Amino acid sequence: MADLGHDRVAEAECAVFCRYLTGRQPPEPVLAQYVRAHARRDTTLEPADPIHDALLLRIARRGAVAASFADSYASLFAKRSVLRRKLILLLAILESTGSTHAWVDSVTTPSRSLFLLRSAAAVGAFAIRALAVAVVVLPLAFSRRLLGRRSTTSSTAP
Amino acid sequence: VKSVLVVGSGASAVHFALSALEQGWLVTMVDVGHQRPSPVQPENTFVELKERLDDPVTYFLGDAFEGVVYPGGKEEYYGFPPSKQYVFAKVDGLRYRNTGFSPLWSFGQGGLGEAWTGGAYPFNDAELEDFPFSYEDIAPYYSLVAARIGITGQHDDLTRFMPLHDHVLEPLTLDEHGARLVDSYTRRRAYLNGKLSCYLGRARTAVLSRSHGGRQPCAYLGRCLWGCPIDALYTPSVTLRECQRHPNFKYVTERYVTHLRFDTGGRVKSVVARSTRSSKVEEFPVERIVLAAGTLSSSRIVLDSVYRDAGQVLELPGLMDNRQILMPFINLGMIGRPFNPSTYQYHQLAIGLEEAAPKDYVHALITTLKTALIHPIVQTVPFDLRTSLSVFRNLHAALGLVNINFPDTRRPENRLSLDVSRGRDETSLVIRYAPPREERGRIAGAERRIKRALFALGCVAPPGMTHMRPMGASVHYAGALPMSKAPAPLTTSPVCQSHDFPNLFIVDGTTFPFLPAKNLTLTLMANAARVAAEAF
Repeated sequence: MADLGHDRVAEAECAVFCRYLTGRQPPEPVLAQYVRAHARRDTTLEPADPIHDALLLRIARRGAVAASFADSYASLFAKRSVLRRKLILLLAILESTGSTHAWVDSVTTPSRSLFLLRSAAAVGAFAIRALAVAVVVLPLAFSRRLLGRRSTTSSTAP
Repeated sequence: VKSVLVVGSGASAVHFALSALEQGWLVTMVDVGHQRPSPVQPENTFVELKERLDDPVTYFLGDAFEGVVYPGGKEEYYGFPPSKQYVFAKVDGLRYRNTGFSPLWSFGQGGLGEAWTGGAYPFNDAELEDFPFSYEDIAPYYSLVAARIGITGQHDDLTRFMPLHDHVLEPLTLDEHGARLVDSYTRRRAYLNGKLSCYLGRARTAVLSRSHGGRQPCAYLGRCLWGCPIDALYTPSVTLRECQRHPNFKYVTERYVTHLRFDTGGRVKSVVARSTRSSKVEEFPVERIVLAAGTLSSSRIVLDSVYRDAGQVLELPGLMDNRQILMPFINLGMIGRPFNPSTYQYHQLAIGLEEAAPKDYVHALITTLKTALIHPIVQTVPFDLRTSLSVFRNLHAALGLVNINFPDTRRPENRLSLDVSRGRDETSLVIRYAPPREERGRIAGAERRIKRALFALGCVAPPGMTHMRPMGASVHYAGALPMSKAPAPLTTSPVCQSHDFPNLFIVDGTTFPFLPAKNLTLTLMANAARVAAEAF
């Protein structure tokens, strides 16, 4: 039987992550597949590190901008985190879906020099975001681990 | 009528069987034979599939999302899609332990060749030096197989490494990326040939550029990786179907061959197989038996048979496989270009690196895959996913992958044996492999030359992204019971007849005494046809 609370959390998460990745709302088939993947309760999508994973997820779910900060950090310091896994799952669904594959796999900047300029700016912004989150998350995660606090484990579903 | 029993249905098995049938033999093929699912909407292109299937996500990612590649997985740039999982589905009772080698098994109809990329390269005289026959001896069988399956290619700079046999079809239309590489090569040929001993030419591929034997030519659907829905890309199941149309052919599926039984004279008297459906054990009497289940499975059958018969645990030295290095690259001239998914997806071009000893030739395949899933690649770009995606989208048409293949030799430390600690009904195949000491230097040298060659062609290989695949990943296994002119235990004759068991023939890669850098499948098929012609 479907867990409606669990499904709603997954839907909300999908909407935030889709806005972060593509700047658009996910269409119904994408939402349905994302929820279906989570309904399987596959350990791949469960937090492995209750402190780090849960903290990153909590930040990322706040909105597309917060997700970009959390993912910038995760791409450097938590590549296998559940946040990255969920984003990669969503990307896989988007690229396989008829109405969204072009959102993630078509040329956006045909000019080579413009592409280089835009990429340089995007990479610079990425570095700033990653650093900003690292300054907050790394000491927090370290101190929590040191103190053995597990208060973050309660809010990890789905 | 003379009869022969063939174990397996892969590339060697079906070409042996077809030749034997044509010569009037009764052929019984015993196989597990997992079946390929029917092709989905065979008229549609890759993009049309996404747009027209009711549930494209299940088709592309699998019902349980098993096609999603997460970080920390196998670190491959593309994997086998859900539609090809039947090729690698295992059977109950298969047990093995592996050290230094990650084996892939197939119990599907057509075997591992159902998931190949179509590379069809003849071995030359230098590469056949350790074989008991020359290129001239096997050339008629290369031509015979080419006439059966359809191979495209042309005379070009790679002909110096791979002779041009008969019945080669004109190549497919190059995609834009490939055409640019050829243009650059033409301009820089003197430097590449003279300074780097590096040559570029059209890949030889078992794909049709025109109608052939009732099969349609490549329709550029862009679905190669997902399984060609119109059989333009040859797989052994095409020849299996041809065998099945023959009145003297009997195909017995859902049988896992466990071992052979011998009479007192050392001849094989029967094949013992277990039903994969009911677990019932059956025995098939034989006059002659041909093992063609692939090097690991054929060797396992021989090892288990000897152990059950004589209580002896044999060691089969000389296991070989091609080391493969994957080197992604960016063609600078293609940045910002839209990519065309409706093209042939596997290698259209190949690179040959000449070495001091011709046998050490290094063979590299250039792939400009456009219809592989993008998420496994995007996640390797070292930024957040949105930035990585933005970079990737504008680079997609410019991306390419060089798959560099190295030869292998039979070395005593690489061996197959049995673990019999759990009794004769639960033996495990033990696979041990260690690369040669000089491998690192050889790989580093080839990588440097390929990077310089790519640069000369207007491409760059991003640092840190070259990936060494584990041994076993190329699935070019060979060498455990080699052909030998001199009769010796645990070898076979020049016609692949066992020197130990006179009515046993082994026609797969097990009998190869050397493994060149090229894909061995064409030679497997040609050798199997040769054995049928010369020994049957």
